[in-house]
Amino acid sequence: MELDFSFMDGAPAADPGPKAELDPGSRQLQRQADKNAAKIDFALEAWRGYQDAIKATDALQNDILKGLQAGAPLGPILLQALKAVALATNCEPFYIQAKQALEQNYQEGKG
Amino acid sequence: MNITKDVARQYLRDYVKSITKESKGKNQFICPLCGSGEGKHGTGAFTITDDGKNWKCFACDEGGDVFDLIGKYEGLQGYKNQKEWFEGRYNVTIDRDAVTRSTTTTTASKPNQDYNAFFVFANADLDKTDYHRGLSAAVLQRFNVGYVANWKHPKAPEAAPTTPRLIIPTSSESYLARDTRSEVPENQRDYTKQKVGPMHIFNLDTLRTTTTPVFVVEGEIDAMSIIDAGAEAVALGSVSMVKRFIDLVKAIHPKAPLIIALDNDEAGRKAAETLQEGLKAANLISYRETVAAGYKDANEALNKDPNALRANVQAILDNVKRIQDQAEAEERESYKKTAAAYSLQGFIDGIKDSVNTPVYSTGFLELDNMLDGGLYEGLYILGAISSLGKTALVMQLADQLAEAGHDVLYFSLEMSANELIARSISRHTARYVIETGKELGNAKTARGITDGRKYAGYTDADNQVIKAAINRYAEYAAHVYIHEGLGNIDVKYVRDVVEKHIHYTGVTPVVVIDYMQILAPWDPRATDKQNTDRAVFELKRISRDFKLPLIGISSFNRANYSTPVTMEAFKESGAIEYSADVLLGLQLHGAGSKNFDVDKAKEKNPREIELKVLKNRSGRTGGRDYFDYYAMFNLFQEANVLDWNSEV
Repeated sequence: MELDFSFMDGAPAADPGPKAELDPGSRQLQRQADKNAAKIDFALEAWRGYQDAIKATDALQNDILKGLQAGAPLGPILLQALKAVALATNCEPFYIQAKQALEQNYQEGKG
Repeated sequence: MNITKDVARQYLRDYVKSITKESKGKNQFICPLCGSGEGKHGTGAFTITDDGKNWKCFACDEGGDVFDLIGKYEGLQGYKNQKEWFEGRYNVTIDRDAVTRSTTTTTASKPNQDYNAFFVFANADLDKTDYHRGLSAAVLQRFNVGYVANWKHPKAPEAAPTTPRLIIPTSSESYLARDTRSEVPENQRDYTKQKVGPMHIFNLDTLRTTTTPVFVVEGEIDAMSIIDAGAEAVALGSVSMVKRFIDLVKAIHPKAPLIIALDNDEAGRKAAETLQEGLKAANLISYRETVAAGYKDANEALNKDPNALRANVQAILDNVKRIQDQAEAEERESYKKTAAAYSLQGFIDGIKDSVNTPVYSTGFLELDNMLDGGLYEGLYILGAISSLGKTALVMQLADQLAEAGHDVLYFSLEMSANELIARSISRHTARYVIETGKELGNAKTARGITDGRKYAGYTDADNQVIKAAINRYAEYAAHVYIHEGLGNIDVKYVRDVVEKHIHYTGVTPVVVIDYMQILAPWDPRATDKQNTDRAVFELKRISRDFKLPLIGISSFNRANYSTPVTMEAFKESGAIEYSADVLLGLQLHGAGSKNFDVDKAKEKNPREIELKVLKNRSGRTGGRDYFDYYAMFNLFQEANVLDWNSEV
């Protein structure tokens, strides 16, 4: 259903003044709103982190592909791949453990 | 209300208007007893005196006060019965003392002439004429028919000539005098059949006793002719008596079926049609037959070919008996089918079909649990004192049903559609703000939505919230049908709209009546309680006939302000408590407890409201749901009672 809000859109909006004091009922509802706002912020934060991880994974995929095509050493490439897996699964400890194991057992990835 | 008999007499005009129509002339009506005034001139002889207390029909010579008319029209003998009927009809009590006083000062109406002695005298002379119209001596004697050689109408001028007459008694106070001469002078031809005394149905008593079919004919002689031919019959005396006859038959409710066999002319056919329709409307069985084919009436047939008439009468009786036997057999079978055994398959099919019968979730989790999943087919009544948010709760419930895709017919008898929409949108502003974590200051009251002047002071955030709320309402508004009315919506209107809705949309709606007590009365003369009873009964039928949930809102009076809500509170409005399938009552938290202060409880923000299931015909009774009611935004939220401070 298309509604015409031109009477609202056409008029200049008032400047938000100082916040009016809320009655007890509205305060109770505001607390619910604030809780939801916190939930929304949290969800937003998580979503942003997820988006950043996707971007970083994309970049790593490019680097891995370029490195393989250029015949670069496999150790650093493997580390990049492990980093991508950790980002995609949101599991940073996996990368830290894998990196340590690689360095200790294969002498790879150092520098 | 107590009134005196004298005051009761003043109800005459009102009563007359309810049973007949006005005719030409001041204080004149079509006579409800003899039908005078139904002719083309429309001049009724039934007149009410200027003081409105007495009446007189100059055609049938009846008269008296309102009780006399009730007696004659409703077929009630004796003042006691007439008084009781009057009291029931007008919901008044006629004061006993006043009756006595009034009776002693009232002039008794003039009694009608008793002609019994005259009939004995006339019957003794029956042999002095051979004008017996082909009727047997047995029939003539049964009806005390007589003969007077020199008869004159009792009201005729002294100089009027006398004529020989066959005297046919129609009651102890009336008779028909039929000229027996074969040649009647031109100037006397209009007077060959003269009626004396008030109009009476000839042989009416037979309807009270006879169980075999009874013929209804026009003339007294025709009735006797049918009786001579082997059946029973009554005579109207005139086609103008059809309405009166229908009313009398309704009162008598004869066991025997009636065979309508009026004269074979245009007036007879027309009257027969009216008679059959009237009897059908009164649920009385009747058949239309031609008893004297080829003749004007039964007496002419008797005189021309008595054997043929007897054969025809018998054939009609046989045919009616065959139809009656067949109808009785069908009725017997139909009655047997009321045994539970015949309902079992339907019962089993009902279980199967119930899989597809919707349960309408109210949108309130705990309320759904209490109601076994939500609303089912049936009559739900929600009652409360004022300011507890009856309308707000039901409107929210209606919106939640619509949001879930159900159609809702909302009959708002108090508030306009715009007011209700504004309340819904106001609730959505609060809900939107809560759900999106914004500022409550941007939510608006119903007035804040509808008052265009306020928008000049609204910020972008305010406008955004209002738009979002309107858009949210728009998402389901196509399912909300609001019918507003100011005293003109009654249960018949509700039924019509429901029928129309299902016809045009193919969807069975949930129906809301807001609120019961201001539905237009079924009968303006009945009391509020009687009208509410009728409304509840009809609403219950609507819910059953269309298999839909119907929610009615009921208002309690001030006597229930501080007490806990119980079924007692519904009693003031009649039979709601009996007819409703589910009774829900709202009360302020703490109502009935020691030191409960209703005003203080109402001031709470949010108001703490308890919903009690007072009756649930098919489920659990006694459950309670708790709500925070934010009146500012018409918003109900189910609450945890443990969060409430019990001090009120």
